[in-house]
Amino acid sequence: MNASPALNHTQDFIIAVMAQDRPGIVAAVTQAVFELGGNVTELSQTVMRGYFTLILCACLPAKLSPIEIQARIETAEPEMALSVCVSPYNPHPLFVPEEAAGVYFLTVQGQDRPGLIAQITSHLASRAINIEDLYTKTEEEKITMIFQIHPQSPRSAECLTLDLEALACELGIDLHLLHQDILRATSEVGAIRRLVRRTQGRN
Amino acid sequence: MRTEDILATLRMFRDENCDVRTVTLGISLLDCAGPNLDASCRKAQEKIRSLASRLVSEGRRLFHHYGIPIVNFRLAVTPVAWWAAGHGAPGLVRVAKALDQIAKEIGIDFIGGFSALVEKGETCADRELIAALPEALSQTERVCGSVNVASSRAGINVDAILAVSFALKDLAARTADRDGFGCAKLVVFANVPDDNPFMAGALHGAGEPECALNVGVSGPGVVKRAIERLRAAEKRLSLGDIAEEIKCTAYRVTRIGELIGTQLAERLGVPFGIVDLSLAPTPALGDSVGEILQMLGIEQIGAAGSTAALALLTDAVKKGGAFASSSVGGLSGAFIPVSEDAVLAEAAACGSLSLEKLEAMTSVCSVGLDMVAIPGDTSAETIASLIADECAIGVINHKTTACRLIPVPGKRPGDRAVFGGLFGEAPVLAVRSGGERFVRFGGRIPAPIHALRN
Repeated sequence: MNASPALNHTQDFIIAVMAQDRPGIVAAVTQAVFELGGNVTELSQTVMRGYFTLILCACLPAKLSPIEIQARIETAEPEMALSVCVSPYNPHPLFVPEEAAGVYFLTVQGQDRPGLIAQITSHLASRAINIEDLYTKTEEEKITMIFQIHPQSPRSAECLTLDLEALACELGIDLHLLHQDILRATSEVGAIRRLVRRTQGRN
Repeated sequence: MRTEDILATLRMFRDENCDVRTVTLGISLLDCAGPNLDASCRKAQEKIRSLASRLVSEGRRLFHHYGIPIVNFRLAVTPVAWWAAGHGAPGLVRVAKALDQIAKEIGIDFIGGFSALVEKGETCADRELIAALPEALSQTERVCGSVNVASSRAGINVDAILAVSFALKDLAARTADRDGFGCAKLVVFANVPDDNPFMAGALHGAGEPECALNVGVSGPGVVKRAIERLRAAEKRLSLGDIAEEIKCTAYRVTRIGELIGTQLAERLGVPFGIVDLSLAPTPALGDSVGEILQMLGIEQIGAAGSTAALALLTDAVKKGGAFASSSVGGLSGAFIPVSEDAVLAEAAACGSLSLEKLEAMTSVCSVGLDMVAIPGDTSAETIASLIADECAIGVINHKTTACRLIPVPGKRPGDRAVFGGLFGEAPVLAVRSGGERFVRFGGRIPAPIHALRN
């Protein structure tokens, strides 16, 4: 992550914030970062059942410690009761998939029960498949999960494909794997060659 | 990516029979012409082997990669009458056998292009090819033939229609033990497309490159379910709303064809040609154009309203598909092959769908009287009259029309013809005779006035 030209001796930090949702949380957090002399470079937030969570990357003066940043954000608006976690950004990823390993969407549909997510994700972990995004929704004890996954290698994707039927039987649920290209083709506007090339380039 | 989009795409494959119906590699065999027939056949086989030997294996790899089924792998070659002239009908039968042999060797189920284009007149080679059709198609397993007998620019070659009709009768007799199945491999066209990937009418026509991969998608089940869901979700629906839904669904289905086509062409190192948007039914439940019409409110297929409903469907499919693909071609509309569509076959069996209504419906969809079983004792002239009617629809409306008529030996109206597999089964439909004198005049029906467009 590059430092802003205005900032000398800076470092990137990853900051996670959780709180009960209300207007003004993003404003409070980003204002605190700004007052610390920082700049937010990436941010993603979501709200679930009235709880807000956010993860952002900010470029801040290197002299600041994670504890100082945490304290400043948590005390920015005490009534918001922000729960903050700060880590220095490590530019060396722990998971580096092979270039040819595509991105897939694993859909799970069936009867919800305790431990189901743990069983599926353990299986994915044992196949060196990283979960990049996960959506779950439960309606009347029926659960739908959509995992955006990135296998370590084409081989681990092949293994998952071969395992899928047995795993679905074992867990008593419907499991299906869709390659990202298919979803991009059916859901996005643009020339297929360009969409697929972009996908492959990103992989 | 939206969750709804992901689940909708999943449904297409899991519940709605969405697949790629065919990938068809078109290959020019013009450079295989020569005075030595054996050498020509050998050269044609070598060229096909060099370009197409990896078609099936790469297609299967792509299936494993994407999980999208590719149902059929096929070849379309330059019309045989163009490159195998001068060897007589027996020589052309040898060509058919050579094509059959190489198709079997590389594992494809049909090879199209045992064809002649005679809309304005026949060359010697064209006449020989038409004469060779009965023997060539009855003695080969995978070779498909077609004859283009009419075009909007040239008019309708009634002499050729008569010749093909006699060939059809002969072919039916030679395959009588299979209810005249040989005729299911022969299409008579008006305005034949040069890049149609669907059998039996595929050929690699004039103006095509050395080699091109064309794709035919399928999705009657997807379209039917989309309308079904829309009807369940919306209490007040207009036909415009339904047309919009079909358009959006056709877009998604066509994109699958475009994805598979571009990727497979790249793997094979050949140019990607076109996507044919046609909704191609199969005899399987949930994969029927007839079911779509029922979902549109035509409870009895063939009832008044059927043609309008089919027109809405075909137009919406074209509009959605055209935007989805870089290049649309082939037939691109909706197929109504009676024996291959269980609901249409049932409508024909119960008398709701007559031959005349089918003919009317073909004026607004992509093919014509397709896989229609007729009585075995129908005269060649009556068959020619039927074909001429269908050609007239194509010629006047500047569209492709085609006939795949099967005069089933020994069977009468109401009997059942069984072809098996994707070809399905259908009742034998009555044909009204009485117009034979017209075609017996012979000659060519001149091109319509609007052929003069320059």
